[in-house]
Amino acid sequence: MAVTDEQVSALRAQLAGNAAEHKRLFAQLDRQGDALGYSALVNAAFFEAVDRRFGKQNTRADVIEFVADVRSRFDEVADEVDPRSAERVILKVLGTGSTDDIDAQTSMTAKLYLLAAIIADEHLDDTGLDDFMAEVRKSANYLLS
Amino acid sequence: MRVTDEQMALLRAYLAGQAEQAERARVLVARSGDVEGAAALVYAAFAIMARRKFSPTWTRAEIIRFTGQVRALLSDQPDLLDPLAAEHQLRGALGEKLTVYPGEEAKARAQVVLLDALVHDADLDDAAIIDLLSQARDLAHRLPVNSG
Repeated sequence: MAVTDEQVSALRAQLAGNAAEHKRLFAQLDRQGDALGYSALVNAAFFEAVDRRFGKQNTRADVIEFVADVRSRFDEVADEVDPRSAERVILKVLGTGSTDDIDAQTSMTAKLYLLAAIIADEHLDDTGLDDFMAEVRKSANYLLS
Repeated sequence: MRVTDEQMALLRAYLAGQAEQAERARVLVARSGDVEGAAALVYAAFAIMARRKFSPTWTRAEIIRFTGQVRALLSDQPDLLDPLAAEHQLRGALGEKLTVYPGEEAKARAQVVLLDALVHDADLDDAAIIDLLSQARDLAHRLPVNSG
């Protein structure tokens, strides 16, 4: 199994801030058939994004303040993202703690919002976003292999 | 709700960072068996300080960021302050009607930790802390039981 172009396009639209396009493309994915590939793609993108943002500066205090900043941007995010779970999914990428007791839905929701925020903060142009997607697609394919 | 001198002394010592005096006062309060007065005093002081910092206009975003800043300062004890309970208590103290309530322990802990943070944030000296507690005592006297 490998990540498909459709999965990449759906996530790319979300990270580009194009909610309508993301919704349209995501609706075209097959809930069963695309679940594993899309999940691997999101996980790979989240890992890469967190490493870029916190790789060299990874105190717990930085993570707590970042999650608070992300939740403060929109009420929807504040309602959807559990702060302690969000901190823990970041810290796990940085090699601290476990997320075994966080349910899959809570974890994925946190990762998607945090990923979108990190990429938004990077102000990538189209080429930068394409490069990012290409890199995380390779990582996701490795995870799936 | 009646507040005793021992409860006033306990909270004053706690907010002034006087660990030994706070512990002595805590023992006296615990022996008296009257913890509701202490809880009412904490809530009243917390509500006064929350309004001083955030009223008259405030946003949910400010509450979330302030809570994050407090938790970041306490990052070596990440479970000390429940962020959702803290945000809930601040929004409630500022007059927002909320429907979901945190547990009693998380609520009480949030009030104590946030009160300490708000006092430090406002850089209150001893005289200002005494004044705050005097106002809080007056407010606590007017509070119905279990209002915090």
